[in-house]
Amino acid sequence: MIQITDLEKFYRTEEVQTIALNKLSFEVKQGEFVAIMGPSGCGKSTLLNILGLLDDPDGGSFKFNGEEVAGYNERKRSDLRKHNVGFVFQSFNLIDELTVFENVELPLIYTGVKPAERKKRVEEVLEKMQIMHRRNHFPQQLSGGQQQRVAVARAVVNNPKLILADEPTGNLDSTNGNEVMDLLIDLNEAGTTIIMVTHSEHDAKYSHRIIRMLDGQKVTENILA
Amino acid sequence: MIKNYFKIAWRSLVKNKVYSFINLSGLTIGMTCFILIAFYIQFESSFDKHIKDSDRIYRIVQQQKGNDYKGTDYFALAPLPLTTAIKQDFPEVESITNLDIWDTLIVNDNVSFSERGLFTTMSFFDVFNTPILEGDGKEALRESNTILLTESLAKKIFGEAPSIGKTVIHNKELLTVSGIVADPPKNQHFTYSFITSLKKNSPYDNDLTDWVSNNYYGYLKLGEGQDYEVLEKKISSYEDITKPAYKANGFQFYPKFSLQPLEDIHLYSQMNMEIETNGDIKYIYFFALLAIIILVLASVNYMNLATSRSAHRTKEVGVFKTLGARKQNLVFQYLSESIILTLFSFVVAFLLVVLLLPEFNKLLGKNILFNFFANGWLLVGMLFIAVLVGCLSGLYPAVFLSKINPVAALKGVSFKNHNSKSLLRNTLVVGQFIAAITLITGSIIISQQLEFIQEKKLGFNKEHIMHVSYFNEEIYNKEGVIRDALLNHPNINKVSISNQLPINVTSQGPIDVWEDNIDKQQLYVYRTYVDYEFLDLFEMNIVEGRGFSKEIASDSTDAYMLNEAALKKLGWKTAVGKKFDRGTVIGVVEDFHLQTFNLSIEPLYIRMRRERWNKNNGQIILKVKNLNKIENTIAFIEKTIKSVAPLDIVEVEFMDDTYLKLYEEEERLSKAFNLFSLLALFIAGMGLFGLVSFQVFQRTKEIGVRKVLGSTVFDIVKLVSKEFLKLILVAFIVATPMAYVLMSKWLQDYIYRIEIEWWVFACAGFIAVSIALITVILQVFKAATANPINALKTE
Repeated sequence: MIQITDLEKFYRTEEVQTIALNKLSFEVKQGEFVAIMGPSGCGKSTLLNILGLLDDPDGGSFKFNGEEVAGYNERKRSDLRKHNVGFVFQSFNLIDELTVFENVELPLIYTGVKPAERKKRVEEVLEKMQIMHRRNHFPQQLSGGQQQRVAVARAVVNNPKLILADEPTGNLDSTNGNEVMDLLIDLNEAGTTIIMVTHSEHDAKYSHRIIRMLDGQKVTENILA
Repeated sequence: MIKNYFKIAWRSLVKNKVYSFINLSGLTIGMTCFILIAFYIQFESSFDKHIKDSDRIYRIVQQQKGNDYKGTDYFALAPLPLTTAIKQDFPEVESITNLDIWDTLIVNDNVSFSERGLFTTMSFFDVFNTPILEGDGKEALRESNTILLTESLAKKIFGEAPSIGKTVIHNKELLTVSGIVADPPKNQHFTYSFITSLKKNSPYDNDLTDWVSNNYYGYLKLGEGQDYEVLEKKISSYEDITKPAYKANGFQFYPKFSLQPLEDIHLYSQMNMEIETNGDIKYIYFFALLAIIILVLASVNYMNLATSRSAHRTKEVGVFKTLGARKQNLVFQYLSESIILTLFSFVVAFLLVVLLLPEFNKLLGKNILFNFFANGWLLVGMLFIAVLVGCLSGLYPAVFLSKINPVAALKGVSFKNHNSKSLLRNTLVVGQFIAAITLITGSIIISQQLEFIQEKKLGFNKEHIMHVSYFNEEIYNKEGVIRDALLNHPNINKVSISNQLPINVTSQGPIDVWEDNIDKQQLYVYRTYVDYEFLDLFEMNIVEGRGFSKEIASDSTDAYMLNEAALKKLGWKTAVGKKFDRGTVIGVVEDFHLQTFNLSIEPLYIRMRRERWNKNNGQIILKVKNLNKIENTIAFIEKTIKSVAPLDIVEVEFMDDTYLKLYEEEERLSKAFNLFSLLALFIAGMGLFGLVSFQVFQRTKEIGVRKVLGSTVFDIVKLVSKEFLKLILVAFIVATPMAYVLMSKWLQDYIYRIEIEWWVFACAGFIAVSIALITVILQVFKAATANPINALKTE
């Protein structure tokens, strides 16, 4: 599903150039659950942003479903993203002005789903995430765990093929963290590919494969189960 | 999707109450001012346009070159034979009429009504299509013993009872009401409450053939497709008649007639003998400029605040982008938010306009009515402007936010290296403060000039003086009785019965007889007719000779007093004993202001009132000892005058008030200017608030680091204030010469005026700096006193 070869990304300030990704190559198959680990500044988040089509690489190849997407313009990236990729962030990134229902509905609006269908799908996913009873609440009225469930619901409502999770349990206590990880496992078992960036060895153990990075390069790769 | 945009927009506004309130109040104030001023401009420009074929109606006016009177040689009058001749000689003239308007008494059942009468001819109805509600119109003017009442006067006199066929008394003559006409609208350059025959004007019969007598206004309606300038050229041929006629009457000038479009009268005509005080296009431009400044200030303010707040919203933009929102989705989102706000402002402004219109009318002395249908186009226009302002002010933050890279946006670090944008924002703030400083300077200078007028030595004492205008011969006949009766009151010190007040001397005429005037030069001299008490009552200074004396019989017939300006014009060092006009000069009074301060002090002579002059009207002037319990004195004055002239309407006025009325227009201008300056300053202050909060947000981390390293709150306030003070300084440097030029131009209209002093600018600068400093300190103080740990967490 994802094939990256010699991927490069640089950050330039006026005088210094920092290498964030240094000729990184790996592959992720459909239905896999891959965890990416490494110290701060090793390029994990940069990688995730490129995989999520939020950012452009400076060199190398990035194939998504066999198609080269490295040179895509903003519009094409946005189209591909909204139909195929769901995001789960450490800080949830819910819109404070929208209710739980409306937050989850948002990706469907951008993909042009009709209102009746939207309602059905949002309710389905809220039921699944066991957050239906909070549908009319605003994010600030929810606990951290509940907010992350909403974020996961929002990430999956469009049935994306790929979910990118950036430290999904980083802001949660262990009970809520485990619950979120269980949700991700369920999704993965249902066929969704998941790539998760994490610092937590505990969380990484939920995945099929752990890729460890240092200074923009892959250091090791462990297959777990 | 649109619903969603509005939902987010609305909730975001509700959530950020302080921001929304500040932004909403700025915009609402701006729009309210704009709509109110637009109403005023619309009202002023609508004068006489309701009259049918108003674009074909012209007033005949004349210029008498050499006959300067009250600062101009244009007169709004035309002699009667001219209108007769034009009607006969030029078939392109469809109809022509003469009219005169004055205030007079209408009596019914021993009750007097002081009303404004229109005295005219039958053809008035051909020129002005005045609606007739009942009875006769044009026909009523065939006879001179009939009268047409306006609807409101008929109601005032007769109540709901039918008034046709009833009689009223005017000038001792019984007139039958033969028709009811509609009230003239407030936006007509002349108003009246009844119409009757022009023949009632006593010199009418003589005037019919007298080319030198200018007692009437002449209006004509041209046929369709006719060019008035062509006719204007043709009527210059009457100079063949007027030239010799004027010469024969001893005048050294003659009139040049011209036509003035009816629709131009209200805003463009400032001639002598205007029927009513007209408006002035100068004020229209002035207020239009103010309206635009205020609206632009409010929009700029919105832009600054919206941009500053968008700094807090980048994360949200990141989420939208991640979820698949395109640039246009975001532009639309933020634009819709901005438009919602401006539309909301518009609705509130609209309600405020309805509420404030009566006060606004009071402020400007107008009678603007709120009529949704009549003002419909204006409101639709305003709605359009509201959306436009929404678009313009929302566009910048919308485009700005939508351009942000989603990764950066999610990190909330998009506001780096935006030098070009901060340049724009800084420019906008400088622009706001230029406007504010200019307005403050203007406001101070206008107030100073008005104070100068009020405080300036007039040349006489107007304190503790009251006066009653009268329009009744009986008062003249019983002058002695009234004087004695009034002086019986312990609080009344002096009484003078004279033909006019010294603050507004209107009568003027040519004099060509004086000692040494061998070559028969002509001198135009103002004149006023007084009694023995006049000079004493006003405490006027006699600089040579003496005042009028009861002991010297010839004083009442041959004695003249001159002012210093007359002596100067005549080239005399001394005047007493010299021949002047039909008598001898007995004294010279120190110059006093005859008219308003925009006119210089001109030559004047003062004579004793003689019977043939102005029997029917004049002034009873009273000097009182003190103003405590003045109501009792006023009641006494009313009662005393009523006992002599029961039908007269007695209105006791204070000289101070009458004097201030001469400057009513300036006073209003000043009040409006102060108000708008204050609002502009308020809006500019809010714009600065936006910019400061933006800067402080941007520098939160820097402030945190500085504090950790030992910086004091004062150091931080100083650091941020410095940058804003630089902006104010730039605004001050640009605004000062601008304000100087503008205000010098305004002062040019006054012969007696203040000098613009440096401290005025310093004061305006100080006010601007103070406002800026307070805003900066309030905002920075909050950030500087916050826990630095929180500040360091911002990235």
